[in-house]
Amino acid sequence: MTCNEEGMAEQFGFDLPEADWLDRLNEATEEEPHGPVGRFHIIREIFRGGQGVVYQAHDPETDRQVALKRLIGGIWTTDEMKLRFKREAESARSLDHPGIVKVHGMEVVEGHAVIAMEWIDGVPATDWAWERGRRRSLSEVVGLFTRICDAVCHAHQHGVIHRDLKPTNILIDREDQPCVLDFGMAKLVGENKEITLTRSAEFVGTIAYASPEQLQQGSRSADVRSDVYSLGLILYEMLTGRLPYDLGGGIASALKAIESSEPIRPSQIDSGLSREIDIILLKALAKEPGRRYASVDAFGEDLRRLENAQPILAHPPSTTYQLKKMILRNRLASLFAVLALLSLVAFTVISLVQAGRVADERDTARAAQKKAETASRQSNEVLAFLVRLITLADPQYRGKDFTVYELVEEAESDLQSDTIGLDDHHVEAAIRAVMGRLWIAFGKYSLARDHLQRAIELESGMEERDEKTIADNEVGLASALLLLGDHGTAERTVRESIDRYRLVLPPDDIHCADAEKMLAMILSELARFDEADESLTRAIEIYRAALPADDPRIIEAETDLARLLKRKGLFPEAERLLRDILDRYAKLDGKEQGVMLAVVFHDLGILLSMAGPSEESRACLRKALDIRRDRLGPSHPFVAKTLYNLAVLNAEAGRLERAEELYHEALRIHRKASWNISEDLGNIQDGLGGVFYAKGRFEEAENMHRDAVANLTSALGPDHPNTIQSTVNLATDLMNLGRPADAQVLLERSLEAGRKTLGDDHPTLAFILNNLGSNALLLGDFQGAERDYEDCVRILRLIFPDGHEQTTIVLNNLGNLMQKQGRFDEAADYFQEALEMGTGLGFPDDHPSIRDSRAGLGNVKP
Amino acid sequence: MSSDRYRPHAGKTRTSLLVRLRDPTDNEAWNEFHEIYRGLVLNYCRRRGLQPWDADDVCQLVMMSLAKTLRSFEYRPARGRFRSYLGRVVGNAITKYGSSRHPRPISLENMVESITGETGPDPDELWEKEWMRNHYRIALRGVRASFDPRSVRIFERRLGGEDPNRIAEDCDLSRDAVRKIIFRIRSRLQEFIAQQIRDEENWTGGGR
Repeated sequence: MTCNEEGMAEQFGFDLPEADWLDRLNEATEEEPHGPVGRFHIIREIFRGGQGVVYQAHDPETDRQVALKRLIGGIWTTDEMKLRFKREAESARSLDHPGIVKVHGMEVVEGHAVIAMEWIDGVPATDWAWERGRRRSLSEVVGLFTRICDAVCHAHQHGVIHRDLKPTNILIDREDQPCVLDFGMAKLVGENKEITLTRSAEFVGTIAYASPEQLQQGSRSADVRSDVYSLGLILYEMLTGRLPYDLGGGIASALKAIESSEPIRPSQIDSGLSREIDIILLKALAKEPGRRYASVDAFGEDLRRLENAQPILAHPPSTTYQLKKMILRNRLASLFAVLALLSLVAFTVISLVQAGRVADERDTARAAQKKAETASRQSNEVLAFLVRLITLADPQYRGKDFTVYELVEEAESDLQSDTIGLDDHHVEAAIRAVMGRLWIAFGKYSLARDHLQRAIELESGMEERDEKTIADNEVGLASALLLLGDHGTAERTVRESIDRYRLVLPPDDIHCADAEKMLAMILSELARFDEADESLTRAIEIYRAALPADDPRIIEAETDLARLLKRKGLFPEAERLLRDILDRYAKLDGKEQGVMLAVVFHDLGILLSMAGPSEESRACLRKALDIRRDRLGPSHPFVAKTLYNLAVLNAEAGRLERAEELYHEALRIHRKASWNISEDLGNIQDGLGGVFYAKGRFEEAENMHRDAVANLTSALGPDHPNTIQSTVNLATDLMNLGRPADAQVLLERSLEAGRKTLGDDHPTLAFILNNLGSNALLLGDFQGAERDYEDCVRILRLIFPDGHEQTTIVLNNLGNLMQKQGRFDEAADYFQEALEMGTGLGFPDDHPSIRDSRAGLGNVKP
Repeated sequence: MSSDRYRPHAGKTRTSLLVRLRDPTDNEAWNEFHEIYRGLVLNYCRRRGLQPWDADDVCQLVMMSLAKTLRSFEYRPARGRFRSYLGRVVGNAITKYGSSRHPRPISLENMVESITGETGPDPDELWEKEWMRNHYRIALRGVRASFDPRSVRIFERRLGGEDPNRIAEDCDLSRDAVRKIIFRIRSRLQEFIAQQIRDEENWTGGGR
């Protein structure tokens, strides 16, 4: 023991015998009792806050418990202050509402001004909402909260503003009756904040519920809208269990958060909270008072509308407003975002072109053929339905602008409203089968799925059921499901059709081959290439055995196999197969074969161009074009289509000049033509818009994409995947023209349409979400960007469990986003994952994704 | 009460609280400081004869002034003990507070004091005593938090003046076992207080 410590032992009595030492300890730890203050008997101190101290006390004069509030020292030094305090206390006293604590009066006790109030035995509003870590139901919380609004509103109507609403000022008693405390007090304290605040945690606690204008201009600047803001915070905390900002980093960062951080949307914390709640709370929590509810009454009213399932009056802030705010907040950051975005959207254009946009005339031919086959099998009644459909389109009744799409829509509404009178299940099943196939052609895959499912159900339930018809419909259903991105169900469905065909047809029937071919397409989408290969090989064997050697279906299936080989990365094998097809069929003469050969040349041209532009690749494509021009005439829509395909190919290879020429040529054919195929025209305009975009001619791109969207909408409807993709392209033009707010509208609409048409987990949705993420970045909304990118990655993971190039791109986007926010560890995780996925997929070192991941990792892990 | 949250860090190597206070971002340090010294200032003021609410106000003024000075100190070699410095600050605050108040009715005792010149105990002695009490109070909180509840209950009963034999009987323990518990707690209190004082004297700042 050191000398010092010996002294200490003596001073503290540690050298004394036990009993004496205990006496010393007893005496030392005796607390000074509160005792009486004036006539009041203080029971206990119940709250010590920034404003003052609240005691529970007994008033012998009235023999009741009271809450005694004393404001902490220093502010009673002038008579003027005392007078003002008295005035405020008087106005608080004038309030008579069951939801407002009754103020008995103000008096001076032993030189201290105190306010005696009704004693409320309750808990703070937030504690009430969260009992034992679980939140009460939404309607309970909102219901109680509207009563709090009523109380505050009553005070406002009497000219009393609270200015310091916080959960501890709103107590809920055992009967669930809310009671608001401390009206009119904050104005006094606000003037002398410094003296009352000594603990930083306390200080943060005090400002946590203050409005931005109170922090900037002081308490006296507060008006009713400051109370709206504080109430918004309280409801936010009651619903989510936390405040919308992170106030953990000390006073300076807390002040900054309140003044400038955008609140986290409540639904991001609790996904059970609706978008309406988001909108209502974000309106109440707007930084500028002018954007909040004008009164607590209006706030409460909107909540009541929500409770009664009526439309709420609040709107989300306009994107233009958000953009303006973002630019004002940080000009440099927005400029940086634009630059970052330019590289991000490059992906958009490339993926768009890659996303199977190489339109294929075979599909149309096949669909027509199928339609004809189907029609011929239907009963007379079904034919009558079709005749009615066609009659509907008679320009005599409809005018010439009536489109096929509208026609099918009309038939659909007839079907829904039962004006056709379907009492025969066979007929209904057959009509639904037709409608299902029509809707596939028009891109309304959900409708198609529903019709085909119903057709299968009806047919299955019949006594004399036709297994073959059921199987036919199952193949159709599988194709709708494939297009909806529901690969698992599609696979099961088509496998059922194969089993069913085997029951009634010989195993080498053409129908079995068709189903196997469909299965191969599904498996190929699932990246199960080996199984796809097996199915397709089986289909080809059946075709070869059953059909004449020059049947286009064989060429078609073999061309598919070559594509599959290409997807497997077996380029030499793919090339060999295509050359083999050419060798075998080039010598065959005949119009049909010639047109099919154009497809083979086309594919071979694309395949060869993958190794870099070569004379042979272009020769193949020119050959494809020549065949078509020769067979179909120079102005045939198929020629325009080949020109379009060639243009797409050139654009993909970066030969933008040539692509532009070809697109223009295709456009000229359409302009001169007597026919009007809006779909083709739309696709060409969309492609040309893409070239303008890639050349940085964003205004021309915008115009072209607008025309494309108009044409595609009229041909295919607003929810068709092609229309959606073109709309997204238009949005990316706007993003580059510095109009992210306008882009946001289009992107949100596209997302909604995409969800409707394609379901929640389709690759197109991932594509839209990626752009939404980038646009959010433009709008300065990092949280939105994170949410959208993550949603995008979630979909991509679901569709491509083994990884995909697009997934690596979006993961890198996320990495960059994290890095920008200083969240380096998370950034490193994303970059690392992207890198591992890219390497796992066999990307070479100079692949853009690998380069991006490496660069990102280098930045966050120096 | 929030004071229950305080746990002394006795026995662990740590940066002195008063050094940590100089870091303006270390909010926890300030809250800890507040928890430790608020009781000292408040009780001292009461023992100096201030009414509870006046004591509260003075305490608030002192904390305000400390919040400014302690947090803005540059490094300086020691200039005396922290407890002396704090004593001076509190004494000044009491004087200042008294002069800022409006004249108040003087009680009979006060009047007698002012006539006879008897002014009660020496403020410095009072301060020293209160300082010791405060360390005991803080160390006791630490003991309550770190010992098993049964030992704490036995200690409280003994502190309340109960006969050790009776406690032993009630708890089904030997007299010796009770004595050992008291001894262990006493030793721990001594350790805690020694550590608290070391912390305090590690203070290298000082009044300007």
